[in-house]
Amino acid sequence: MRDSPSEPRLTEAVVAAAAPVAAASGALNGAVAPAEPAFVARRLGVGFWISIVWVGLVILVAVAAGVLPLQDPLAIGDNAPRLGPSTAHLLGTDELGRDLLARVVYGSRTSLIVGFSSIAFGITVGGSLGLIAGYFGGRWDAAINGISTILLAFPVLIFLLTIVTFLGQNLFNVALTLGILSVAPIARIIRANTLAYANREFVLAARALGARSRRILIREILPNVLPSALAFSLVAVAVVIVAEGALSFLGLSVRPPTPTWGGMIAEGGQVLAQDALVALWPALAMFVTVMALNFAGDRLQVYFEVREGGL
Amino acid sequence: MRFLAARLAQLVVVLFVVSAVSFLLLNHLPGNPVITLLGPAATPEAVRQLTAQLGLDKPAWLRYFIWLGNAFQGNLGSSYVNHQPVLTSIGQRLPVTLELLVLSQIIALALAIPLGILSALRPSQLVDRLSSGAAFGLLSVPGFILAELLVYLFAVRYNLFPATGYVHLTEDPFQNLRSLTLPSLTLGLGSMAVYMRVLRTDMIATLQQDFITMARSKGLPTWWILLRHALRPSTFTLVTVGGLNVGTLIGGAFIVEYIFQVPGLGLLTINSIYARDYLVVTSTTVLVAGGFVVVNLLVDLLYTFLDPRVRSARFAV
Repeated sequence: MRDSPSEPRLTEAVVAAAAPVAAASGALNGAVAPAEPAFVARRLGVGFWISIVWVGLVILVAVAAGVLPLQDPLAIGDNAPRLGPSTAHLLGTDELGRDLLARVVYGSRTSLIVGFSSIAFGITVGGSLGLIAGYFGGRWDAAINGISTILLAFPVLIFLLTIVTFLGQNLFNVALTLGILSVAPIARIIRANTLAYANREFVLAARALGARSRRILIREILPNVLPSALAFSLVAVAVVIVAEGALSFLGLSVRPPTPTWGGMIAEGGQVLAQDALVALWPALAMFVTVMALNFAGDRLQVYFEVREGGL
Repeated sequence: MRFLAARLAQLVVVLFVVSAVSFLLLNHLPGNPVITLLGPAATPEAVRQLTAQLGLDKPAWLRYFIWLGNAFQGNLGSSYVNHQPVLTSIGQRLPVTLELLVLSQIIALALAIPLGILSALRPSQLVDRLSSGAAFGLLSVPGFILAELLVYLFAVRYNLFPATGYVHLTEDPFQNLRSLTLPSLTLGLGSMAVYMRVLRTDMIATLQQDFITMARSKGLPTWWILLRHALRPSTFTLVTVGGLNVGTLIGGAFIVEYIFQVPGLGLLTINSIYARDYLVVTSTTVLVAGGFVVVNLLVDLLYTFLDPRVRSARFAV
């Protein structure tokens, strides 16, 4: 690929010289990448940005729902039931005459709060456990591995149903339960990533300089593990949104009349023969949001993998 | 052999913890089966009598060990609600769920293998782009949305398959298949997307290897190379993912059974949670968790069949 024979040697020399310094600060790849042909492929693509814009838009609308010119999502009887889309009701009304657009917007709040807060919890707890298991190994690893094996074997839906019924059906409990369930798989992935770095030269160098384990974990390993964790967590948010949807579809998430996408799909399912649009809107909102999160996470994963390949 | 023994020990531990946790957890749920049975208007005397009769007056941990002791003798107790032995109801429901799972996997593999092979044969070409796009879309459709969509298309708009109304296999095999078409399609399409993606990736890697070039240079027909030379070494990840997918699949089966009212383990479990029928839920939970661990053990053993090199590495440990 390269024209002159001297160039590879030069690059190698730069890498060798820069490695101990730059690798510690995580800047190695940025410094060398321009010389690599793989650099051309390092693009997130239009699809990634469309996905991010969509997710950002959904979050923005959910936050601003109170000040937007929306109708009351709970008002029953103001309108005729199952009106088709019109200028007064952009998406029509449901079986009880409630405005579907308002309900879809307010319903997104439940999905987003549960999705993002439970994964924030999962990343914090599972991530720490994974780092500890991967870095210290030995007994820590065996203990954390054993616990996650049991957690993974436990049928998710039964666990969800019992815990949510036990603690009570509200937003906090649903988010907490899904957060706990996300700990084991996240810990597994972070552990695997940590293992890949735990014995690398820059970690050895830091240890030789007398850095303590805590410093090595936070300053050396964490910055390297974080990008793929970010990519994975986007996909995990999508998984949790689907799980919350399934719970509210079964009527076991946040109690009605609070609108949720899953609950709206279940209600729409009852009148599928009369008016399929009632179920279509929340289903579409959920599908597009989940797909956007999946796609963005997928692209990020590929993006960071290429970076690894460039080494 | 040591590997096998370690995995069996792991199975025992998992089953013990899962059964204990679910038993104790369910016991602390608000509401109890006695009230469910007698109704809210029952006299305190009747409640006390039935509680003692069902053995519910003993502390939960003691009841757990009684249940565990009986379970070892093949007695999982009886339902509090209809007094049917739990083993009998599981025996009735398990074949239904298994049939659903098997049908869904047949659908998934029947679609995923040809599509995966065709995509890998010409990566980034039309077939690959279309099927990869479809797979990505399918991965983002939650099972319950796919179920509603299929019901709308095939039961409401065009009356091809029933949305509910399970017919038992022994009654009428044809109607049985018809009643399970939509449920197994819902489950199968989800798995198909996952399988297709991993098979495609592995297959692309295999097709670049020397023995494929060798086979091509011998002038063997492409379909023969694909099926006889390339397929088996490319199924490694597929088998792993298939094993891990069992957990997701069972969760999916529960919801699908609920939506289509298929009387399998899932519907039994969900209804039993609502009725606080602890023994039934604990038993099905243990069964599902055990099934998950056993399937993954089988997957590990299957590796040795797919790649003999694993055997020597594994048994040297």
